[in-house]
Amino acid sequence: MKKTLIALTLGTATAALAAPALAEYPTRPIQMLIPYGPGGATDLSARALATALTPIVPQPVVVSNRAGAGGTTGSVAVRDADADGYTLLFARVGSHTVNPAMNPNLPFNIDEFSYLGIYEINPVACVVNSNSGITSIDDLIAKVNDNPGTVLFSSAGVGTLPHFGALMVLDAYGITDLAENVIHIPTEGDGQALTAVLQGTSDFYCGSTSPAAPFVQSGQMVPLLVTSAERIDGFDAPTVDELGKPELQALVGWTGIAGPAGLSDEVTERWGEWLSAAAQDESFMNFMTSGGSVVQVMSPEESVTFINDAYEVFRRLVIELDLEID
Amino acid sequence: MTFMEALAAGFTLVAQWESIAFLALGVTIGVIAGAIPGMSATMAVALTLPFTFALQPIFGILLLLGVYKGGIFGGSIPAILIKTPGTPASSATALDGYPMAEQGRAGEALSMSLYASCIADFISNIALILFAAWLASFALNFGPPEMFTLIVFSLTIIAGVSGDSLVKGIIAATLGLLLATIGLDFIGGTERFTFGSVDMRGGLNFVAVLIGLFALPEIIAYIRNPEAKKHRVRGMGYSRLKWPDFRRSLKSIFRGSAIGVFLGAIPGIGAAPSAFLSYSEARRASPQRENFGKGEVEGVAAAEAGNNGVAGATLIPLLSLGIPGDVITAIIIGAFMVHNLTPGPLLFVNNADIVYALFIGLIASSFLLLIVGAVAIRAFRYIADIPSDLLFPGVLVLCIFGVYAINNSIFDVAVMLVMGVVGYIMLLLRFPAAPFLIAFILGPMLENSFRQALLMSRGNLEIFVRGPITILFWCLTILSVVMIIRATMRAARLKREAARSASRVAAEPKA
Amino acid sequence: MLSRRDEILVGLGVTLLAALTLWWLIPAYVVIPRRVPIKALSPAFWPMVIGWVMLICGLAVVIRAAMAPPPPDAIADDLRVSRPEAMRMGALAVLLIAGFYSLRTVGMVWTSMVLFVALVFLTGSKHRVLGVVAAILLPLALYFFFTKVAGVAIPQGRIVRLP
Repeated sequence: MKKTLIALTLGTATAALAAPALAEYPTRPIQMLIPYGPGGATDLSARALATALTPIVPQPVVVSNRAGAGGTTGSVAVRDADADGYTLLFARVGSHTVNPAMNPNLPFNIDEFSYLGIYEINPVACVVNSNSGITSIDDLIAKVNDNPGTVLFSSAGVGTLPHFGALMVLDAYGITDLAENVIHIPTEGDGQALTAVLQGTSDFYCGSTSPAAPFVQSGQMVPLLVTSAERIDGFDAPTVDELGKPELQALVGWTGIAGPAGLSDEVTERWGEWLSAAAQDESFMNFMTSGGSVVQVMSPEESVTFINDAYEVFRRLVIELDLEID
Repeated sequence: MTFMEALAAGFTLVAQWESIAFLALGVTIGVIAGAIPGMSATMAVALTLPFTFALQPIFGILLLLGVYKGGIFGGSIPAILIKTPGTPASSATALDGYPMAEQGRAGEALSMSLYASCIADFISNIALILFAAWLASFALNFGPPEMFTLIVFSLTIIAGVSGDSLVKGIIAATLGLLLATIGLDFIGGTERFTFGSVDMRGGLNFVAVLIGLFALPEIIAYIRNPEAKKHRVRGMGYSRLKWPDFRRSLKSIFRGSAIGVFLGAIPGIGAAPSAFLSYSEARRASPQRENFGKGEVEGVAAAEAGNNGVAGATLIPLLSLGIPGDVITAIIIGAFMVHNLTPGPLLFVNNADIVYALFIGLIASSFLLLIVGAVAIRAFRYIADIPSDLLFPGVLVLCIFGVYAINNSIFDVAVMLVMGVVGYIMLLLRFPAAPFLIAFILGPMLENSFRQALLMSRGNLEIFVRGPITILFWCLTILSVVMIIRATMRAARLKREAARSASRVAAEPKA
Repeated sequence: MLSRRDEILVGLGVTLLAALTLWWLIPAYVVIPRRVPIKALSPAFWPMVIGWVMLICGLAVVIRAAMAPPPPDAIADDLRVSRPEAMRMGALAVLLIAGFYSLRTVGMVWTSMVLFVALVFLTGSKHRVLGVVAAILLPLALYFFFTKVAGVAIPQGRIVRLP
């Protein structure tokens, strides 16, 4: 009995060893890390994409969470993995643009990754409680100017998109000395940050449209602006172009796929094909657009340019406005 | 649509055999996932979500709710059988459930846990249907200052689970609070006690800490002295719950359900504080107070009632305000959005049939849980029959796999092993583990809500007495502190007298 | 219950730990941001409060142990470790440390098998054959469950990979 079992185990093991080593990528399951916890915007987007990829990718795509420190832990885990295309990361605006721009002590750099492609863009919206009496961005700015140091905004944590987004919008409207004039209340996620607005704990929130969509649709919150080029269905708010602040268009969220630096061209090409094919999947598109996201597959080069441009804009502002975390 | 029409429409939606089938499937997946350490209800719901995209909205949502409900009960199975709670909430169940399993009463503990879960779940669902609007307004008034006072009050639970020395309980709690501060600072984003490690930036994982603290010391103690357990009769999880035991626990079950409903309605608290609060309230009110922590069936009932009482109530802020009360409900929001349903006040107007179908489905889920749970208990209780010399190595392997699976992190495995050693030392030096754990869970909530409140008021402490809710919790805190002091003084007096008479007895033969 | 001497030592140990936290760990390992609007919002505030409570409780344990009547020797716990016990615990420590470091290189499944078998023999179990069978089956079952059903990539190691 014992011997048969050992023989059986050894048998399977050798079979596994004997798999062809030089076959085309991928020859084994691809592990994809989500640097945030289950249930967050990144997690849902990643799982939806993985489901759409299942019929397209010849090997299983294993999606797993590696949360911690605002996306840092998971990102570092992938950076340190072998650059063989079997360990990849769902990179997000927070982990790969805002946090690196605001935090000089981060244990990784954005150029330590190969980017296989951005597949989703989320515009940013600023929302306030509908009981607040504020109906336009000008009202909000007037309120900040009239009551310096009392207006509060909530975010999903230090160094997240809503943290930076609110400050960037206020700066575009000429509010100076941000550390003194507004108060930042970090929370543990977009859901909690929006709850704070609903409770009156916080006055406004400027973050991705997807978590805010239900509140806007039900009339509990009023959107003041959206950073997309065109108006978004269900968000009755002017775009930043209409408001005359086109520079705020740089303030958008994105999700993409990245790997350790030095991925082979073969891996890059395959992923380009797979992402384009996944973007045709109907239920994936439905899921993404239901939250106000735009599915837009970028090539690796476009993605790198996009990420670097966003980083430059954010980094310049961080230095100008003295927003560094240290 | 009038109320009756909506109700009828909802009923037709649920009364299809597929609805019940998906609900039952969900409960089954949930119970199995919950019973495997490392597979939390959250993970099971996240894994199931993509499969619901292709289903009709009501089927998909019922499937997810089934997984959620099943997962919360499932967590109590390993907590009782192998002292390996899969979720923070089921660690309260382990306090009395595992001693019962050690005494060969695993079957009794599991049945009690199931009945308490189902009753609390049912009450929670009824509360959702009847009081949703009222509890939602309560949730809206619950900002950081209210949260802070609630957590301060909850910390007084520590006195109830400290065993024979309150001071040592407080020391264990401070250790838990201190370890909870590891990671990036919540307000400033700077590093605290990370010692330059990237993994430490994210803090220590809950489940890794709690499995290390609970399950590993048992394994270490067994390896140290295998003979002590080898001869102990553990086996046979066939012991049955007796009716008088069930009846006397009913009060605790109802109290625990009520606590669960209130705490569940408040976004961001979760099931663990509720389970512990319910447990300590049951202990305080019980005539068998001394037996708590040593295998008291009422303790299992109270912990599970507090735990499951949250399950229906977290849907209150979700359905009435669109706010996710915890991570699981955040995922369920995703399922709503895929089908173009907007959770929140509009849902009752636009999709009343779905809402009522959901309500009816929820009630059905309590009964399905009873059936699926009974089958699961029958299947899992054989674990109680495994001889110790195979059980403990198996538990260790299970813990390694499970803890790794939570976050795909080898670092978490290291945390578990180190916490196992810490837990064993605490066991030897007579430091109770439960206060450590409660403090570790509540610590971040306490600190964060304190600092958020001070940010809101710009340093003005008056914010902590800003409304009736805060004042209520302050009064409750003072009341329980006074009661703790009185109980401690009484216990100290009794102990002194006992020691005096013992030393007299010891002195006599010599004389 | 611990003997008076052990209890006093425990109290002193806690006091020492608290003192280390307050005067070494917090100053050295809590980074204070440039801007702290209110003192209570500093990241060091809570650790300080916790440290002080711990310090006071540690001293309270010492004082109580010194003042209260000591428990009779019959009730007091014996903290001594016998020789075979120490050897088994030492072996466990070595196994766990070695096992932990081989998780990534050898793989979780193979490591678990070895760990399981070693523990079965370490405790002098009489179910040796059953132990070895379980040691092979359990990690394999867990591996297939976690990778195939739950979608968790269990570390495979660099030597022998499973499908």
